[in-house]
Amino acid sequence: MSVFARADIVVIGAGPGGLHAALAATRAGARVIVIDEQSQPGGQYFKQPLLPYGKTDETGGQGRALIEEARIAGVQFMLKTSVVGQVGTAPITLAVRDKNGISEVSASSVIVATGAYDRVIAFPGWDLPGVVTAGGAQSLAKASSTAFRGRVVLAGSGPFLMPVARTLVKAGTDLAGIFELGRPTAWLKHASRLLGHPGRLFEMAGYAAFFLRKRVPFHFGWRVVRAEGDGALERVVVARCNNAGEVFANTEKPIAADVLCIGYGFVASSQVSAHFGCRHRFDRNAGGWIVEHDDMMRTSVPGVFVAGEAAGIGGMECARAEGRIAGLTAAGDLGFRIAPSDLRDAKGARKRHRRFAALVRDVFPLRERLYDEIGGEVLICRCEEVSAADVLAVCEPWTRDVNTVKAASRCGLGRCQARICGHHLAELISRKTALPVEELGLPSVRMPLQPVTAGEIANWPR
Amino acid sequence: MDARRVNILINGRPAMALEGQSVAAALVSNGMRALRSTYRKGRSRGMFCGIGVCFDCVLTVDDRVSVRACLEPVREGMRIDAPEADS
Repeated sequence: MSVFARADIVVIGAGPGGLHAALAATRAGARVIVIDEQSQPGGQYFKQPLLPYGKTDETGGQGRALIEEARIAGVQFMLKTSVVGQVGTAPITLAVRDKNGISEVSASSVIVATGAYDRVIAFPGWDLPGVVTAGGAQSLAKASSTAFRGRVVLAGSGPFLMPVARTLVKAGTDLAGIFELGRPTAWLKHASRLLGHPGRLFEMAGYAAFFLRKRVPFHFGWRVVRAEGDGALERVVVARCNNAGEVFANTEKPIAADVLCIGYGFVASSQVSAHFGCRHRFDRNAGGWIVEHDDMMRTSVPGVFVAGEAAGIGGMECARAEGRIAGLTAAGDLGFRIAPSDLRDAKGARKRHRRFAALVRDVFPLRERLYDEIGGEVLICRCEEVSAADVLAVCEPWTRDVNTVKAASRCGLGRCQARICGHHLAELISRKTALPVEELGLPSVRMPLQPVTAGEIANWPR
Repeated sequence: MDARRVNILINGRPAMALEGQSVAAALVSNGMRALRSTYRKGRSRGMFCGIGVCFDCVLTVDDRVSVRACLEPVREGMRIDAPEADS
């Protein structure tokens, strides 16, 4: 049975960006539907417990309040729903999939607020059971109130390690150590810029105080070189390194562990925006391929807006400001009354928060060395089990794009549709061909954007 | 409000979970890290991204295939098929 839903605006993603966009547009009078794959709204930052009214921390509580506001204002949610693809242009029509099968949603405008996911840079043993992303650790705690069993190591680089560390400590996890690749001394270079954001400094001081009080074993200037174990993780091997990630000889240290939580920042979720045909630009430090937009958050495709991480990694505050701008503008375009002061405030907030996001990128740059060091035998495509050597073997002197390499090596053709291996593919080909990643193009995106069954397609009237 | 106990079946064996856990979380609580093995080389995999992006945690749940264990909330009587999981 197929259902056809109609709205003024469809928002893809119920994280901070999507929620604020939906709220702003609904308050202006527009009919808004928000689509999200998860069981609860909130995205990653405002991840809610799966248990209705389950216990949350402070951030979860803020998220709950925002979700309630959206519901009360009249925002409609289609949860546990995946976007399958665009099937019509005027109005914009999307095929979506939920437990009842494939149905369609139409709207005059779409706001892409698809967020981001952890960037893990491949290393030997990263596919062992027990190796998880930093975001996965956060999700397990926030959504499922579940702690990992056994000894846990947290590693990688970036500000996200701090909230994950706090979550793990509060959950009573047996933390063997936290290994941050960067050093606080490298941050001092940016001290004067940091002073321009007192609220954030206060936040960081809060984390520092917490970690000192709990005697959390933080190690700076260390990185993971490999994970080892027979059938599952048994040991994490770390080594001392400089700020570029270059390992110092004879400093390798094996650490017995059952779980390794690892992350090096984020990758922007660009499948939906690529599918719509939006123009993207490549910024390795800002999430990779991110959507181009004007100061009203319009993309290059008429009727399609973007907000939040998909437009460049910037955290909740950027998503909030951009969600508001996109929601107000989309509603205004459809003839709904919006307050110019609201738009002005949101634009001002956006400028401030994007400036801080740029500072964070300078303090925690992506260490390209980590891609340089990926050895031939290391797995690149987890879904199709393709190694770095397999990928390089199909790179010819005339290779100019990622898609031919994808097709020839099978890297990126599996279930996750290149979400996890895409950045690896681009970086490897770039190094082999000496072409910059921006010239290699985005991986092509085809329907279905998320897997559907043959039966669901057969039962879809279209 | 304390979470209630939920009875589930893992490979036909009764196991305990708590209301509000994802299937992946329930398996983690039951001491399982390896959830399945890969189709080409038969290598063990467990939950990786935890947020529904990587598809490494896919299992058959109540006869539905390719269910992402990290997204699916447990339900009373749920049947989880993970034939290649460790115990």
